[in-house]
Amino acid sequence: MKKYMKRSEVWTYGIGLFGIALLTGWMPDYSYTFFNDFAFKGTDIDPARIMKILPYVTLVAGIVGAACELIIGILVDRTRTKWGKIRPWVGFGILPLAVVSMLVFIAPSTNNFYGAVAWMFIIYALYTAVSCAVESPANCFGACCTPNPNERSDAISIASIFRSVGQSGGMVVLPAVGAIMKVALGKEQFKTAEGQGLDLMLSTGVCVLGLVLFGMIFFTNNRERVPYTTERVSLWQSIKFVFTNKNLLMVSLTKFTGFGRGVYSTVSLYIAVYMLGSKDLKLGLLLPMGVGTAVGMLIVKQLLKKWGTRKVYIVCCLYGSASLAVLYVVSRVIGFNPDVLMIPFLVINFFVGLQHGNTNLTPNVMIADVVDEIEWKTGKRQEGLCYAGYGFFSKVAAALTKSFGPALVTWSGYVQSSNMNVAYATQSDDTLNKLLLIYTLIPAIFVIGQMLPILFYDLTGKKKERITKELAERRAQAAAAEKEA
Amino acid sequence: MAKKTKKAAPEVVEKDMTTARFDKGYAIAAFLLIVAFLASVSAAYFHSRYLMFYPEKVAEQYCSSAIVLKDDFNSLKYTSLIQNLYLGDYFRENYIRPRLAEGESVTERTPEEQGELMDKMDEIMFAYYADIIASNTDKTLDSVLTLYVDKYVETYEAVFGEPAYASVEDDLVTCFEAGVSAYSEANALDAENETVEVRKTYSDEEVAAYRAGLSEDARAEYARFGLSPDAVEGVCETQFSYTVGGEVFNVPCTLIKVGMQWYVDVTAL
Repeated sequence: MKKYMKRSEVWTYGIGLFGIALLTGWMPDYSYTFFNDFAFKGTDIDPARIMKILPYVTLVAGIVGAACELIIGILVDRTRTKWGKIRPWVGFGILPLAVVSMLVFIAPSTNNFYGAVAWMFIIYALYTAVSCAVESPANCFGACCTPNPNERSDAISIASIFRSVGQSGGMVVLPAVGAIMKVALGKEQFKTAEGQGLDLMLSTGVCVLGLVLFGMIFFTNNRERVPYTTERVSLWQSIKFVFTNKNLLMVSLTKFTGFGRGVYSTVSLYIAVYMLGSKDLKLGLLLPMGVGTAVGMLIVKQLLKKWGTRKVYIVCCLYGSASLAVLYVVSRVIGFNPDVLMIPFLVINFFVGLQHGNTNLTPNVMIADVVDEIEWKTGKRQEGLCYAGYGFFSKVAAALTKSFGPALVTWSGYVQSSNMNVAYATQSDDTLNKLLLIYTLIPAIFVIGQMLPILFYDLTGKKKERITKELAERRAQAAAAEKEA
Repeated sequence: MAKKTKKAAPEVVEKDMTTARFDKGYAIAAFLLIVAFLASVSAAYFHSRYLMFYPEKVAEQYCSSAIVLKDDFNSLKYTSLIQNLYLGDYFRENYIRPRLAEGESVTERTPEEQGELMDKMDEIMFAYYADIIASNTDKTLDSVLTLYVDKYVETYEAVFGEPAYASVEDDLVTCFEAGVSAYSEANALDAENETVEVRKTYSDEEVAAYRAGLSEDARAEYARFGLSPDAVEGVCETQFSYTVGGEVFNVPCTLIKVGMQWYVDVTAL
């Protein structure tokens, strides 16, 4: 089949997603820290009152984000410009996103509590909306970068790897900015600046710069190569699409049925303290898992060429669940002795991380296929809405995970230390076992849960080939007719 | 041997690039615009928030910490002593590490047992820190830190029944910081109306005279912390005022400018 993309386009698509993820991965955690600890430091505002308000700030932003996913999806599908339907959102949306992101870290000088609260609600909701207007279209660009499904899978795979790396980029930016500030200001003076959150503000500036630089490289080099349809779809029809197209619904439901697979992160600090012997080993836990994820994505990219999306997804879920079960069994057999358990735990943790390559990559390829299917069935091409539907379910699932994790920690019977000289109190064997369950078997159950909807996904094999072939024929006919006209 | 045939390059379908020229121009303009925006916003915000750029703010932090909160140790962060080092690192390298024994403890303790013994250490050392501050009227950094570490090592052996090994370094620092904090909480003044007034900013000639007029002791103190008198680019006299029980107190405070930042000059205290 014809290749449509230049080689450089595959890479610049990845570079663009890297830049966007660099900022959107940085913002949630560090803006929370900034609001909580630094934004109103040195003013008359009581920090305890700010802390109480913050969950509502994130809740409102979450609702705004979920609503924006759908709205932006609909708007993207209605966009008709000489730049295409997706590129203008990314290219022209980057500027307001850059400005608003920076303003999140520029707190107003006020002693008025209500003014401060209003500012946090408005600026963070605004950031969520603007980031959605750039990130959501950028994610669905893969569906229209080429009509060739194999070429598309390759582009999406590489871009997904870049995006995953970008999401953790902030972890490198912050210490790098800190090191430069120490040289420029002096070590103890850096602590003074750090105490005012100024390192966070400058790090955000670096992430914003990355967003604009890498985003613009994508904007100038990449083109949409799948002709878009011109029919307008009503709002009701659009929403109906998300909830009634079987394959799209099944892919989106994986987020919902698998929402608990992320609860392991809630207890990763406790696992580091009690199973591995030091809280510093939390990084030791996350690093092998992160490396495992990157390796997993490369493996999945190859598997997708041989097996197809459905089979890869199911096999990877079974593997993921089994690897978590092995981690549980090995830990129980060895016992909660950090000296002996640490090495096998970290090694198996790497193999557990491999499964995330599948969940980061395969659904994006599946949705691109669903976009083709919908066009094949209805004549309407709706990349924006399809990815928005998936994004909507992702946001709901993330909210569920956030509340489920702490609830499980309460269930484990975890005892907090009340002694100022003891950071982490001794836990009973029952509690340690439950913490291990939260890290291993409970996510394993949800990994199986996320696999279930895919059993009903049928966009594979001959059906997919037929759709690709017939769409190519239709497009050729349409192009010929347009030429004649 | 059969010659390997070169794999044919895949056919690439070029797409209409009507917007390419605009895109490039827009991308460059957008990038430059954002760089200008980031530079101006960051610089303005940083300059307005970072207190070391303002002599009155540095004086306020120092005096509030040392005089009102009775936190002598942490107030040193705003002085010319710590040009480019961590106060904590200075404490560890010069006073703690030379006094700790090599080797490591082999005694197994639960976190709770360890916590109980640490509580006992805290109790003794908190009281001792208060004693040092009360009896050591000079309160020189040297004497306070030397006395404190000696007492900690001695007390540790008595409480834990083993020498204070290198591994207790962090515990010692934590105990010291907690002691400083406890002393501050117990002895802080109930001060009101804290204000700082800039009384005089030296001219270039006066700065040169200030540098030339530094005593030998002051020069030695500067040299000890790697600061050359020539690095002093500005001098500013401030007055910290506060009220306790209706009575007004005024404390003069001299600051020097090194690079772009202001520091309380310890040699002028």
